[in-house]
Amino acid sequence: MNQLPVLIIVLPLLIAPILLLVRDNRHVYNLSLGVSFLNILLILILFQDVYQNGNILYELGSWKAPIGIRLNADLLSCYFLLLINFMAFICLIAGNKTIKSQVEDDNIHLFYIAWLLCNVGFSGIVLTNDIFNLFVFLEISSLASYFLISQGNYKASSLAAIQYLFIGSIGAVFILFAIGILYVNTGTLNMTDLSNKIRSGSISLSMSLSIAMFLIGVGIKTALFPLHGWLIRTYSYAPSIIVSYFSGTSTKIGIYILLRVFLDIFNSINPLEYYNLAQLILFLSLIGVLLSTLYAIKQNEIKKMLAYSSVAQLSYIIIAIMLLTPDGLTASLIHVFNHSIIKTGLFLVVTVLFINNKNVSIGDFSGLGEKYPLLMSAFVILLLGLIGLPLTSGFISKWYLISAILQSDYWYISGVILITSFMTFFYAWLLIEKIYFSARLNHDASVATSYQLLCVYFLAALTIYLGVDTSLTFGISEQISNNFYSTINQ
Amino acid sequence: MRHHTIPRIVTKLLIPVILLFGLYVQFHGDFSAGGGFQAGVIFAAGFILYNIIFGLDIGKSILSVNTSKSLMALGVILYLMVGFLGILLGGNFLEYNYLSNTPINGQLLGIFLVELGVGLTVSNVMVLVFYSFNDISEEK
Amino acid sequence: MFVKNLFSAIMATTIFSLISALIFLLLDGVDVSLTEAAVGAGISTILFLSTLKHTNVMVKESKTPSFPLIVLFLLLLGLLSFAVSDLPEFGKFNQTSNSQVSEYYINKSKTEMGVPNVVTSILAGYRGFDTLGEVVVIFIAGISVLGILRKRKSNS
Repeated sequence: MNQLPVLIIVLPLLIAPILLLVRDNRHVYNLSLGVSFLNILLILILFQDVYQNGNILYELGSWKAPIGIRLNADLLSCYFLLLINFMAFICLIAGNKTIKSQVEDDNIHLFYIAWLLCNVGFSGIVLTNDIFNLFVFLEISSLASYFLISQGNYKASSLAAIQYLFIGSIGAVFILFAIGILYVNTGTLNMTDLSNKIRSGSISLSMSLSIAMFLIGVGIKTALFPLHGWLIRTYSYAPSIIVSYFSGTSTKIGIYILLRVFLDIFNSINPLEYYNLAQLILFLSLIGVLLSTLYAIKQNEIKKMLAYSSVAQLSYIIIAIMLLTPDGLTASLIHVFNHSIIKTGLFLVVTVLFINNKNVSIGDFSGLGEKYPLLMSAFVILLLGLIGLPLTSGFISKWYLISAILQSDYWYISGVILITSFMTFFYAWLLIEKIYFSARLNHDASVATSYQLLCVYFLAALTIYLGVDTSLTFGISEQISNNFYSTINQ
Repeated sequence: MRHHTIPRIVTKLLIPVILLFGLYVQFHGDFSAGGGFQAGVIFAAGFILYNIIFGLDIGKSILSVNTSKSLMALGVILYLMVGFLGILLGGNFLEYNYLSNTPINGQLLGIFLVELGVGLTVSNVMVLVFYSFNDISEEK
Repeated sequence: MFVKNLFSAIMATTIFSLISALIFLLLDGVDVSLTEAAVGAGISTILFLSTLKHTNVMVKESKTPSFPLIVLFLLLLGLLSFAVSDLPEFGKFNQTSNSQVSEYYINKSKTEMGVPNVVTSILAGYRGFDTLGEVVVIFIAGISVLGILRKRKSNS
């Protein structure tokens, strides 16, 4: 049997406790970097295999599916798996220096352990085919992320972490309750099995409660519009390298759970359509896009600005899903990938430039265009990607998003998308103006190491590459969404 | 707590019983109620009680913070190792059938080792948390 | 909720844990009961008390919960109880959740695992991967406490 799916989860899991025995900071770093590199190789092999031969199922302890726990690597899992582990690897390379200066020396090995475990949690969520197992991995990643956030060197870091802990726990409890109701109603925890059982049974009252609870729980994870408060606080006060990492992964995991639960487990009822939930969420996300873009313009602190922009971009993704068409799903999946790369890149630039500054305002970028021409041009490319100008990957996702919207019943939404894109252009322009057309301030933007610069350049290059060659993102997204909607229409 | 004679004597009587009960719950978990989680907590509770009554210094000379940390990691590693053994012996991850001569003996051995790992981690995490809380209080 | 003195609040929580351990015992959930007694009544009381000693706060600031909050709470409670009303009756034999995997566990556990305690065989055997996850959760909790408290120490 192909052992790859479990190895991807278990190898980093084995390294994490070993790091506690090693404790020497240099070895700890090398080990975690090594294991995440190995993981990427394994994922690429797995991806290739799944792409050619279809799903890979893996039964833990060889117990058959509803009895034991099964892992299921399909295209959707591999897509997210690749994205998450790639982001982790990039951030690990770029993060070494910033972690050294921002985290207490004695805590560095604990920090890396938590980081590895957080990533293990994400990989596990994406790979598992068992709904309770998904919850367990969600707990692992959430607990680890509370710790990671608390390690920021702001006064408010611990407060942000504990607020996130409360909100996250509420979300987790909702999801746990929903899983419990599902189990009572169907007597199984395996997702494939659940989906079949739900298909044959009728929707009971308690089942709709379960759907509602899933929605709230997942909504908190994805920072769905009225539940987005934690994201702003977290992104403002966490260690900056962790912000770069989370902006590419944590919320995307929420999107993954949303897709898994509503389009896979409940696909026969299609609750989003049945209860008109899709329209409700669509409406909320529209308000979310408008308000958070407005807030982003108002912000003077760059981290907060990017955080609000993240909320807006996540709302785009959710809008695309809630169109409930194959095109919409394709657009959302493309945007998941592209936005992760762009946002992580933007946060990385902020991270590597301002290691010692706690609050980075827009003014701090004044005149940096002269000082770091190459780094700043990468930054500008990423910003253009955020706006969605042609030749960048952001353009591709906006293009598919708008064409999906125009083909659906909600054509008027495209107006909102255009308006907010212009507003994005406005705040991006504020930054670009400062970078190139302002006098230089006399401040100490720290010198980035060559590894960090390489990471930023690589992400910027990827933004352009994915804007020209869409075979990876579009090809795979289209295949995934066709798979989903062909099972729904059966 | 040096002058509280009654707690000291009662504790002296109770601690062996608590620890023994912890071990019983640990190793008898597959035949009666209990398992690694419960045993770990009970064992840790006994040890913490000892610390409260006789002072942290004596407690730390028995189980230092560093040893406790290593043991906590070792518990997780033990669990994972049992899993990897399953792969190495030709099965899937966490498959116990191949661990011994017959599948049933393999299952028993697997469950025993896994529960041991759970017990190690849980008890040491509890003790560590207790230590860390008291370390701050002492500094104040 | 109504006690002002934090010490008595902690004691009330402990008593609550002990009573729920008894309830679990009556419901034949021996394993759960044992855990509740050890964790809820034992360890967490000690930890609460150490926190209390550390923070030196004895009395909670009195803050009566606002009226809309209470209404919202009651409304949510009513909605939840209404929605779960169609769940199968407690302890009924022929219900969906008892007829699927649990039947398999109860019938096969002895022959496949040689373990009389079904709870153990599910936890460590059939769903061993979940238990691995739970151990890792506890491991992270330990790591977090170590890291956070150490950070606080060096700050002060």
